[in-house]
This record gives sequence, C-alpha cells and structure tokens, in this order.
Amino acid sequence: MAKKTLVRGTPAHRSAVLALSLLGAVVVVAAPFVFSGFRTFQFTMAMVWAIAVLGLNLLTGYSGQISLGHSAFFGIGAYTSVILIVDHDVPYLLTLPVAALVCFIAGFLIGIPALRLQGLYLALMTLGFAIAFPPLVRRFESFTGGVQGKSIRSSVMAAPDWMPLSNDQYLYFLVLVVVVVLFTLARFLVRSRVGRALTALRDNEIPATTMGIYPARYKTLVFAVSAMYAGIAGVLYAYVIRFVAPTSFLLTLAIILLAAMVVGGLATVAGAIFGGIFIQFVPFYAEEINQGLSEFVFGSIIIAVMLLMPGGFMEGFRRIRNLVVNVADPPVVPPGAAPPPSATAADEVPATTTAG
Amino acid sequence: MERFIQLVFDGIATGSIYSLVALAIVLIYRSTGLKNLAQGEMAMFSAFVAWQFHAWGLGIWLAAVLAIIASFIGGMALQRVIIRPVQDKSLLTVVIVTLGLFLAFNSLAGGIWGYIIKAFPPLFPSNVISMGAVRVPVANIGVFMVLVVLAGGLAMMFKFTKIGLAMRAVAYNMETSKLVGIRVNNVLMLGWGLACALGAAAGIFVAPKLFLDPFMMFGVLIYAIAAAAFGGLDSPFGAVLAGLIIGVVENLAGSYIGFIGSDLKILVPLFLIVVTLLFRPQGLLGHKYVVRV
Amino acid sequence: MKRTTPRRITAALAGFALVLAACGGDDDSDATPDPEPPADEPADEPADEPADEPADEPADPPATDYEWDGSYPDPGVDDEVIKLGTSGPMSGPASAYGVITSGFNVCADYINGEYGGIAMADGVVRELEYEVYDDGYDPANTVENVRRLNEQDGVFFMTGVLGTPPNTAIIDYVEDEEFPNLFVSTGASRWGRDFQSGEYQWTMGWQPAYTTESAVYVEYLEENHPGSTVAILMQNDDYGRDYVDGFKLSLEGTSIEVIAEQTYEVTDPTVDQQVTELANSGADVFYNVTTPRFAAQAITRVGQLDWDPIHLLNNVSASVGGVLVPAGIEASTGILSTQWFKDPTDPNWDDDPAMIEYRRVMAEYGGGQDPDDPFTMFMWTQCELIKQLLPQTYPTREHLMQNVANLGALNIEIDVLLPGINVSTEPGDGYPLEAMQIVQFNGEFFETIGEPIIFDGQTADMVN
Repeated sequence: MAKKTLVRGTPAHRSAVLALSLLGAVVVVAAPFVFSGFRTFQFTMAMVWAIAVLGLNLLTGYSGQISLGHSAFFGIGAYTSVILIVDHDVPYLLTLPVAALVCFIAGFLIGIPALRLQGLYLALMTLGFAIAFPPLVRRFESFTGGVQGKSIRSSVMAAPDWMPLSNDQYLYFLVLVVVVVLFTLARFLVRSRVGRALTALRDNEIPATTMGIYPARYKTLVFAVSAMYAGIAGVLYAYVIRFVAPTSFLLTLAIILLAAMVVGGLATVAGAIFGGIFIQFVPFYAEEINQGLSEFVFGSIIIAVMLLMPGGFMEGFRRIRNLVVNVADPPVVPPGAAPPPSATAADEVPATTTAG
Repeated sequence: MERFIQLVFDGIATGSIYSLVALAIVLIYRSTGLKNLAQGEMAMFSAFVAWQFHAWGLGIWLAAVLAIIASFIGGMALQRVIIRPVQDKSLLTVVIVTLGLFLAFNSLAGGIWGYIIKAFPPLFPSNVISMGAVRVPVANIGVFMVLVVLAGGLAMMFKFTKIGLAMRAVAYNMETSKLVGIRVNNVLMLGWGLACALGAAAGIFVAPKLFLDPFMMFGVLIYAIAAAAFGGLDSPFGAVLAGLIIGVVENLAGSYIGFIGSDLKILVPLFLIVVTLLFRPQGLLGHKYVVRV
Repeated sequence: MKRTTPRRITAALAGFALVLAACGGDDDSDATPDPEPPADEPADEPADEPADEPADEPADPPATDYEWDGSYPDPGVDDEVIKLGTSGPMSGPASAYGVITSGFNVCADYINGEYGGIAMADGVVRELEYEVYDDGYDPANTVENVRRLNEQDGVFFMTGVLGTPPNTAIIDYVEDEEFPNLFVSTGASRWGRDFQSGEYQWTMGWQPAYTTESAVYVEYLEENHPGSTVAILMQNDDYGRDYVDGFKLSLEGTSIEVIAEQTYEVTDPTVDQQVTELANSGADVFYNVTTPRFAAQAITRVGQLDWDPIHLLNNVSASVGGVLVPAGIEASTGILSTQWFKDPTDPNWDDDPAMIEYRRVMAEYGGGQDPDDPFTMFMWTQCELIKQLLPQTYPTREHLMQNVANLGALNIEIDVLLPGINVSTEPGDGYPLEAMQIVQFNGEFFETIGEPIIFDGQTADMVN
C-alpha cells in the first residue's frame, strides 16, 4: 500500500495530530463513564504512577542523573498530605501545593551534592535516602503515625455534592487535571532554555560548560522539579489509596519507577504515560499468567521489552506509526530562520492510548 | 573493651559478606563496564543450586564446585542470549535488563525451592574460638580467608594475565579493543561467566551464616553496591576494604551512638561514603580517568 | 516485609463451657436456643440433604432466631455457589506467608471435592469458589485486590486477608461497603478492639493477638522466674512493635524488667551486632521477636556467644522445620514459645484423628502445600472455621455478621486447636482466640508445658 509521508509542521501533519488528540481526549474523558468504578480506580492509579515516572524522566532522561530516591520523595508527598489532612484538618486540595513545595525544597537540598556527584555516585546517595526513609518515618512516630501508618476517612475524599460524579470518577478527573497540567509543564520545560541546557550537559558536560552553561544551577533545579513531581504523585496516591505506611514507600518502589521510565521510553514526555500503565497493569496481568511466579513473568516482560524495543514503548509506538504513515522532519531550516513549530506526532498521540 | 573487640570482629564478619558480593560487582564492572543489579540474586540462585546438589547426595564441597561451574556456564549463556543484544544500547537499558533478571531469579527460586529458610551445610567447622569473653566462630574466619584469596586472585588476574588485560581494555573502550584485535564478545562473555562463578562462591560461603531463602541477598546487595562504589568500582582491594569498613563502622555506630541505634545504623556508612566521594570521587582505591573532550 | 503473621493462639477450651456459662444471659442472641447439636457437621452428608430440604425450610435452625426471607440481598451467593475471596503476599519478601493465601484454593477444592460444597443453614448445598489474589504485602495492592473482589468479582465475603498494613489500608473501605473482611491473618490487637467498641463492624480478627502472646510470656515468667531481666530483639515494624508494646504493658506491676532492646530492619543482612549487644546486657531472658530468617540467625548467634538466657521465641517463628532445625538442634533445644494449634511436627499428634484427617486432605488436595509448615496449618484452622460457620448461617451478610459476633453461641469446634483452646466471640468480646499454650522445644518437637494460659475477654485490656 502506498504510504503517505507527513512532514512535521505542515497543515496535513497538524490536522492529523489535532484529530488524534481530539479522539484521545474523548476517549480519556469518556472512560470513567464506560468502565466500572474498579477500572476507573485502576486508570487513576496509572495516572498517578505516570506523574512520578515523568518526574524521574525529567531527571534521568533529560539530565542523565540517576535517582534511586524517588520512593522517598513520593512518600514525603503522601505523608505531608495525610498528616495535614488528618492532624490539622487542612482541606485536602490545599495539601497538594504544600506537599509539592516541601518536596521541591527536599529535592533541592538533596540535589546540592549533585553538583559534585555524578552518575553512579548520585544514585548511591539517593539510594541511601530511599533506604533511610522508612526507618525515619518509624522513628518519628508521634508525627508520622509510625509503623501503623495513617489513614484518611473516606468521607473526607468524597466527591462534592454538586458534582454528578461517583467518588471514583471524581478522583479520576481530579488526577487527570493534575496530569494535564504537569505534562504540559514538563513539555514546556524540556523545550525551554533550561531543557536544552540540561540535554547539553547530559550529552557532554565539559563542552557545555565551556559554552557558558553552569551545571550546578541546572542540575539542582531539575532535581528539585523532579522531586516535586514525585511528591505530587505521592499526594494523589494518598487521595486514592487513603492510607500511608512505611511499607508503602520502599526502595522497590524507586526501582520500579526507574524500570517503568526506561520501559516507557527515556527522554520522552509521553513515554511516562506508558510507564504508568506499565506499573499499574503489567503486574496485574502477570498474576493472571502464573500466580506463584508473577514476578518471574514481570521480570521476563521487562527483559523482553528491552530486547525487542530498547527505546521502550515509545520506540514501539513509533514503529507502529511508521507502518501507517511516514513522519518526516521538515527540511533543515537555515540558521536565523524561524524555528519549526513545536508539536510532534510522537508526543501527542499517546494520549489516545491512555484509556485504552 | 571486650564489647568493642567483639563488635569489631562481628563487623569484619558481616563486612566480609558485603565484600564478597562487591567483588563480583567489581569483576563485572571491570570486565564489561556494567553494573549488574541481579548479582545478588544470581548468587542466591547459585547457592540454591549447590544446596540442591547436596540434597541429592553429593558432598558439600563437590556440590559447591559443581554449582560454581554451572554458574560460570550459566553466566556466559546469559550474556550471550540476554545481554549481548542490548549491550550497545544505553547503559540504563542494560541496567534495567539486569533488574528484570533480578525479579526473575528471585521469583524463580521461590517457585522452585519455596520461601521457607533452609540450613546450608557448613563449609567450615562450626566451633567457636574464645578469647576472654570475645567469641569468634571459625566459619567467620573461613569466610574472611576466602575473601582475601578471591580478591588477591582477581587482582592478579587483572594485572598479570593476558585475559585480564583484555578485559580491562574492553571495559575501557570497546571500539578500540576491537581495532587491536581483541575478540570483544568472547571477552565479555568470559567476564560474565567469571562474575557469576565468583558470585556463586560468595553465595555459597555466606549462605550458612545468613540462611538460604530467596531473599537472602536482598539486603546484602545494597551494602555490596555501596562497598563497590566506595572502594572504587574498578579496584578489588578497594571493594574488600570498603566492605570491611562499612561492616565495622555500622556496628560501632549502632552500638555507641545512642541516637543512631540499630534502626538507623545503615545511614552511617552511607554518610561516610558520600562524604568520601565528595572529596575523592573515584572511590578509596579507584583509578582516576582523565577525560578528553 | 513484615510478618504479621500467623501465630498461634487460642482460646481456651475449658473456656468453651465457661464462656457459655459466664455470658449466657447478657444478650439476646446467645441467650436464645442453645446451639443445635445437629448443626454439628452438617457438611458431612450433603448429598442427600438438598433433596429433602427445600431452600425455604431449614432443618437446622441456627443458634439465633434469624429469619431468612429466601432472597439474596448480597452479592456472591445464590442457590448454586458461594464466592469467597482473599488477598495476601504470594510474591515479594513476605512470600513465606503466601501458603496461607494460596491455601484457600486447597480449602475450596477439599470442601467441594469431599462434600460437593457447603450446606448453609437453609440446607441448600452450594459450591465454594475462592478468588485468591497476590498483593505482595503492599497496602496499595491490597486496596486494589479488595476492590476487585467486591466490585468486579462480587464475592460474598473475604477471609484471611494477610498482614497488618494491608488490612489497615482496607478497613475503611470494607466498612463503607459493608463488605465482611473476616478472620484476618494478622495478630494486631486493633481488630478485636475496634470490633467490640463498634468502631469497625466489618473486620474480624482470628489468631490470638500479639499482645496476648506477650501477656502469656509475662505470666509464665512471673510465675517461674520472678525478678528476671529481659533483653528484646524486635523487627522494626508494626508486628514487632505490637508484640513489644503488649509485653511492656503486661509487665506493669510485675517483678520482670526489660533492660535491653535492639531492633533490626528487614534489609539488615544479619542481626549479629544486635545480639552481641543484648548478650552484653547479661539479661536472664531473651525475648526473640523476629521473623524466621532472623530468628534462626539469632538462635545460632546466641549459641556462639557467652550467654545462656531463657529464650522466648515468638510464635511467628516457632517452626521446627522452618527455623529451629536450620538454626541447629543443639542451639535450639530448650527454646520456649507459644502455640494455639497442634504442631504438625509433634509426633504426639500422629494418632490424633484431626491430624490424620488434616494430613489426608493435604495429601489429596494440597497440591504441593507442605503439611508440616505451620502456615499451612494456620490456613487449615480458618478453613475449618468456615466449614463449620457457614452451615449455621443463612446466605445474607446480615446473618453472617450476626454469627461472627457471637461465635461463642455457635457450635464451633476446631479440633486441630490445642486442647483447652476454643473459639469464641460475643458482644463485648471481639477476639475469637484468646489463649495460648507455652511450649518448649525438646530437640525434636515442641512439648507443651502446663496448661494453656487463658485471657478470655481480657485482650482488649492489654491494648493501649
């Protein structure tokens, strides 16, 4: 069959992107009305994970630093929210910006050594942070509830009366709004001067530095933003699960986030959506295959994805798209000319698959 | 004083365990340039294999040797089938593949042998040496000796053998190594095989102390990674020294610093490591590489 | 990583009669007709029963005066099947407990295979279906599994959901949904307390509370070793904390004193340093609140050091094959622990009919479950309970919960429990099992020491 070639930025390409985006939006909005409350809950959790994966991807994918400490930031966000709601009667929506700020600051402080530590050593330091988090939570029991954890009564998180939505649908849309905001912000960030500076640092730090990019400032900033994303995901987790305990935020969570990021697609904003779906649904179906060996199945799936699509699901997605249509970059624009329009098909379309 | 000495001896014993696994991590890093997250789980799996051979009636030393050989072959097979296809991709891709191996080996061991702990037959006499109130089990000394021998052997191999040289070359720069005629793929495969054999030895020697179950190496791996990084990823003696320091320091901190207590003692070595790395990023005994732009 | 687990417990046997006598009067449901002997083993001959007993004419009136109108107001039960469900760790670090969770499949196979199902109080035999899901001990997964059981699968009720954090995470949900979460596999003391206070009416515990077990040790020490000093090693999590808090509370007013405490994290490779420190305290008693691998390490370690304490090993790790034998017979001999069900490895029970039946069922339906594993026996106690509870229950959650709150008034005799240990709840008492037996390892098995120590109706007082 004759394949069409779409050139980025042309009207044809833009309409295709627009059409697919609209379709995606319809599917995403309709999903909670089509599926059961339980499925809606699962989609909501997938979005929560996607935010955390995106945060990690900003750090690792765009700046090349590896963090094994994101389970702790996730936990700090969740705990901040629950403590404020339960012990201080703060309206739950207000806890989101507070927790985001707390995690941003925590990330900033942890990020300072990032000035000196690179790659593996940063990973090591953040690993320590992840390991220390649960014992610290237990140690400061009067504040955190200690080993028993803390829960939010369901009445606190109920949908407002004026909304014709069930609690599950309400939480779904609440999380969806946060997802849209944070993903838009991330796209903006990676295309900004900051994003380009980070990529330059990641790809080759020394020449980038000689060109006037000051590594410390950018690295610390991106670490803080990344921690903030994880923290916000933690807040939303607390809204949905309504229970936090030290056992919920172990090192294994940080490792799974890392795996989901790579499996979704490094250095792609949309890949985080795949990552979130991966965390939520792959273990769920792995258990269907063999209950006793579910982690064997899960591990094998990770390996298989990496062998078949080393670039992650985003690579697989592009391959499938290329079966239908070629997407080409516009001819090189001479220096000084207007920059090419920004939207790319690859970044837009995955929204369609979210609710799948 | 006796308390202090006892804690130091205990620390050296635990530190030997960290060091053994750290050695395998160093070996694989030095021969292939990779970090293998599954190192601990593969060691655990090998220990189970040895346990199984023993359960089938073989003597424990024979079972251990067979398991180490099987691990050598298995490691080469893994490299050929699973690692080679992704070895040219990003480092993180390979690390995630080893994470997949981690989950798979852990779950598989549980599926085959169950989750009830098993006594691993002792490889050393089980008596205890008394020096006043200080007690040192002979097995702890045995593990320490094994550690010294393996670390020494590894260092000699890298330094004095042709294959060791080839491994270092490949890890340092794969492309250049090809140009000078090194069979890169064979060297990488051999590196994995040796690392798995070493890991198997580590698993087998620590199993009598830790007790064998699929989660035996879970905690050890964290310390071993820390030790490997602390010591300098490319230095066998660095890894050994770092593992021992971590073992001793966390024991002393847990006992003598009231606020730390046993629940937060892991933070002390980690803190120590970070501070060290801030001033000596290549690790205690690691080599510093000059980067050309 | 916690192990919340199975401990053994019990309720006293002698207690059964006693309980009936003591509380008979104070309440409407158990003051009513006495438990019907015929209800005893209704599942035994199910095949012919449905024929002569139409659903609307129960032949065995249960212990209460509940009247069923023949409709099914709740999901998960109809004329053909009863659907039950559970969630527990079949992967992840707490997998050792997974045999409890996966064991419910064995339970269903056994009941269906032997009896064609369970004849409920209306006389209709219904086949048992069990949905068993893995949560890896992660509370978020438990929430997901429980919502799946309730909203997708529509099960009648859950049994044996495993672990304290997982059950804490779902307690509000099952309350809001009025979804029975029965006989949870955790010894936290809050289930019974919250049930009897009326705060949480839909979650019911099973095994004796960890606090009960601690109280049993204190009573034993006060009687046999007054004035002794104690050193405690504890896993730093909910389970360890519950044990140790309960222990300290029970110590108040006694001559026993805690002089050293050490904790460990489940990521710690060994507990050598902690045990060295405890030995250094020179305490008379070592209270070992650890999960199996660490328990075995601690036992071996104590044997190596210059310390010979009275060794109390918590019931979580009181497994001959899973802890004591691996740790070494010599080092293990003389260790004290507690039990509430018959130890499958104890040869004294070899000729016990209940044990013979248990082994037969495991051989026939067990599909690889190890009958010597105490966790398998733990599951079996829950299976027996369901097998005896449902025949006295009409197919509504309302009647089910009414019965669950009055187990003492029903006819329930689980014969794998140790003699003297009985199942009983009643208004004001939300703990089904409240007694334990002190046992001592003699090199081969656990020997019972004295009589069971019974705290019937007192567990709630041992909780802060």
